[in-house]
Amino acid sequence: MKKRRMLGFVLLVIVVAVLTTGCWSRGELNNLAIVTGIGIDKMGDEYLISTQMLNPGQAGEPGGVSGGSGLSVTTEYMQAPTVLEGIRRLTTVTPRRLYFAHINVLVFGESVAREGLRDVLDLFMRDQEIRPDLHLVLTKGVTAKDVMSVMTPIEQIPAAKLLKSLNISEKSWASTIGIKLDEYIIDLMNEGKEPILTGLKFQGNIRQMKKDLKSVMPPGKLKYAGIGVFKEDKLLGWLNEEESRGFSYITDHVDNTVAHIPCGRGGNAVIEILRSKTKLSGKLVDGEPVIKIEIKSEANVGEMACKADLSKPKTIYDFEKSMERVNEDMMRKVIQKAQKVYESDIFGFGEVLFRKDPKNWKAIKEHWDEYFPRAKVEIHIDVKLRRTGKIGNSFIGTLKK
Amino acid sequence: MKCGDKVNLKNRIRKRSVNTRTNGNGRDEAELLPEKDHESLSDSLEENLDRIRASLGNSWDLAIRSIFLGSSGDIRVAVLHMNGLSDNKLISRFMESFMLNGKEVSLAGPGNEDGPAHTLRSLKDHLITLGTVEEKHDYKAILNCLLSGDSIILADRCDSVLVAATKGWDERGVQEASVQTVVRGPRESFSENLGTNIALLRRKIKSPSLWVETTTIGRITETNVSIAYVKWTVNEEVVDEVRRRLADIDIDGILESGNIEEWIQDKTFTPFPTMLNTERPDVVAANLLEGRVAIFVDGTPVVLLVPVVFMQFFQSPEDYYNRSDFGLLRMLRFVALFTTLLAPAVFISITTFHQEMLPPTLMISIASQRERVPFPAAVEAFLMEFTFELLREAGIRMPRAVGPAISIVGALVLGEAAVQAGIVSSAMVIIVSITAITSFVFPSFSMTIPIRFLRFVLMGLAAFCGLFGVFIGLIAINLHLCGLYSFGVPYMSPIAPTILGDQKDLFIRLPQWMMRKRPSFIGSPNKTRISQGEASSKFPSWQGDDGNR
Repeated sequence: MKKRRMLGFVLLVIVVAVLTTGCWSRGELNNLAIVTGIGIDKMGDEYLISTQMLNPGQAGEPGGVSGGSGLSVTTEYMQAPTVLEGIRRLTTVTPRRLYFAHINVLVFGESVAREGLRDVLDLFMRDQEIRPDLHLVLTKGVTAKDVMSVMTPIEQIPAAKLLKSLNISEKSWASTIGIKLDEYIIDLMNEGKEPILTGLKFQGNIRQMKKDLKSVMPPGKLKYAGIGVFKEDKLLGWLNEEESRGFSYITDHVDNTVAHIPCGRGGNAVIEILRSKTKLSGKLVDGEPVIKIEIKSEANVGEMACKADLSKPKTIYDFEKSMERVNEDMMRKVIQKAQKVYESDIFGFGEVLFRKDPKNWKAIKEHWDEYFPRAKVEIHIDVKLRRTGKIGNSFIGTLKK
Repeated sequence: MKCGDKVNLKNRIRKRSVNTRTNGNGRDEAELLPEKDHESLSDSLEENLDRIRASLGNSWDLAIRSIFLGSSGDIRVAVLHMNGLSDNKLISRFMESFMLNGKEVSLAGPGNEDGPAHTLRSLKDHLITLGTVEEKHDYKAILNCLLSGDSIILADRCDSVLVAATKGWDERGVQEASVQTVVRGPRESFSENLGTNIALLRRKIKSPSLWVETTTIGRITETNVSIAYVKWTVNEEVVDEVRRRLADIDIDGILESGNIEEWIQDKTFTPFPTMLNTERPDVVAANLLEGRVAIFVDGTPVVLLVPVVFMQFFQSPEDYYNRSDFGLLRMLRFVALFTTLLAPAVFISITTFHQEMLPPTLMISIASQRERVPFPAAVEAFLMEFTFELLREAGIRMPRAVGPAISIVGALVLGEAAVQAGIVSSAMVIIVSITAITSFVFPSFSMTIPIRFLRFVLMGLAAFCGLFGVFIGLIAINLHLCGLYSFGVPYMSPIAPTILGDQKDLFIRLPQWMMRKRPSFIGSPNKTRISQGEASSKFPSWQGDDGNR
């Protein structure tokens, strides 16, 4: 009977499917060591891989670090000529298979970045377990292994702290930029743009920090500081905080930030940027590249430490003007540094030219490294102050002295 | 698919091979009866009585009362009834009449034209103070009447008997629905008596177009089975098909409508019910108005409705009594459907194959719970689901008195203590609980059974192949569902085939005044529910068109 044969066929398919696959790639949660972050340093010719792994028995307990007998994460490290070998060799230490799908950050030591990241990045794009939206971080003056091996307050998992504070400071201070693995690789491959990574440094006493985390004010902390400038995949140097923020403006990474401006006689007002949009355009004028940066921002008065009268339109206009000047200064500084010190087009001006003026770009692209340092940059900033916050004039104005 | 070619039932309904079931040669009732010629009675009263006694195996509940009538007291009459099946008051009333007026009965009429038969006729015409009295000859039919609770009156020298309708026994009255309960809506439910059940239905539909046909099914049980439909709305082809399929049933006994359901469903091997069963008269009435056919079985409060579609199992009568909520509750039920079907399977897949799909924080929490658990997630899930099914089954079967004990054991030991002991993780307890709760959301209990079964199938697939297996399973279920028919109507209509007009009462229930047409997939010849003249009005007036009821 046709039906019976069909039924037999279906049964056969099921049996074969079940028996031949046999729980293919099955992995119980308690047979996995969940890696939360990886650090990579260079030790001579070899790489030092440090992996921060979840200690699930501790991490899930309410109370976490303080209540439990152990820590919520543990870090193991291994030296090997290549990254993958290092990771595999780690199983001589760990009792479980390392599981990489939940990595928060990939931390590169300054040492490996100075020599070039090309040799280590391929694995992370190739491996099917690792997500390409993994965030990359650079250490500054500290090894990646040390970064991976300190506990952090508030967040139970230090690697998660690294990711969260990278994102939150990008959103509300604009001195860091969260670069994901795929973005970095795209920047690396694009003509007319050099990659950057946000730097992470350690403040305080790292030895003491590793010992305990039982004081209200920890003896040290991991802090994002500035942006590392690359030329291709090699780290050249650093932008300081102010330059980093200028960089954020130029590359349209500013969501929300604050800056102070001089106000009246000896006093400061703080302007809070609520929205900011940057447009880049460029062309070749007489064979020389000219880049135009247009920024439109909306802002609030965030803080007044002076007597200026906010009810007068002139004050508002003055504030807008000085805010524009402050921003332009920030940007000029970073452009200056990129053009003169590093000669690395981290802003992607070349890419802008390629988009806006592709014909001329073709002619100069082979020599862009020579053109970039002398590219002219015009900056047009338009800051609009919308509101003054909850109150109008500051009470400072009513005080006698 | 358009409405025109929708219900060409004859082509679609699977032709059943009649001979596989109706040959039933093995045992025939003839063997139960001692006499060979069981068709007619003899002239002798004694012989007849002996024969009936012998047929019933001298059962003690057969009551025989012999009396002598006639002016000279020479006409012997016997009244037979079954104890407990007949109303003693009715019997004693006509017995009283026999005693008082028995002398008037004569052996023969004035012209002596009929002979002994006249005795019965005069009894029937003058003495029996009952509504329904019939004269019968066929021995088998007489026995049947006797066993249904009627009284048999035999007279000497007569080869026929009188059957007096004296049915009356103790029965459960009309009570509140216990399975399909509602907050708003009628409380009454069917009982075990066919007559009462039909009456309950007639009280809802006071129209001459409510037609009821009755047949007897079951070679030994002789169970009365009625099909009811509203002539105005029903699709004749469906009625014919119901009749045909019922006639094909040849079985010794029908004790519940479930016995019938299995014989007349379209496809035999399916976990899904292709007939709706209900204990609520209002549900039956509403379905008859939409053009469906109801099958009543004597002796059970559960009534079958055909043809039905998958979506009907997610529609509660209350959906129509409460104000239209535009699908909020229905959507909830579909969410519940997928939750109860998939929750354990997806949990197994994600924790054993696709850990990357979990949000990191949740993953940490689940991972830490699973640290202490010695079994793979699949084993853990099977263990807990199995335990829950045990508890549920125990809850139905156990004596009422021990109920609290089971609850305590179930809740405390299996929930809290199992987690404490590290046998299962608390995440799994949550999954099993949510599965259990959502499985009780469906208005129709008969749909929870296939879903329970399929949940385990999907869990097995998840344990082997992860989400890949789960989706293979879902696709297979979907294919199967789309291949089902209920009395010629595609089971997944109006989704597949897509009939947009009928989807007004599917995922959402639109306000009543927007649903002008009866569902067209049933094939009702009269499609309009709201009378045409008022149809455009948002507020139809009270004068309904009688014909369109």
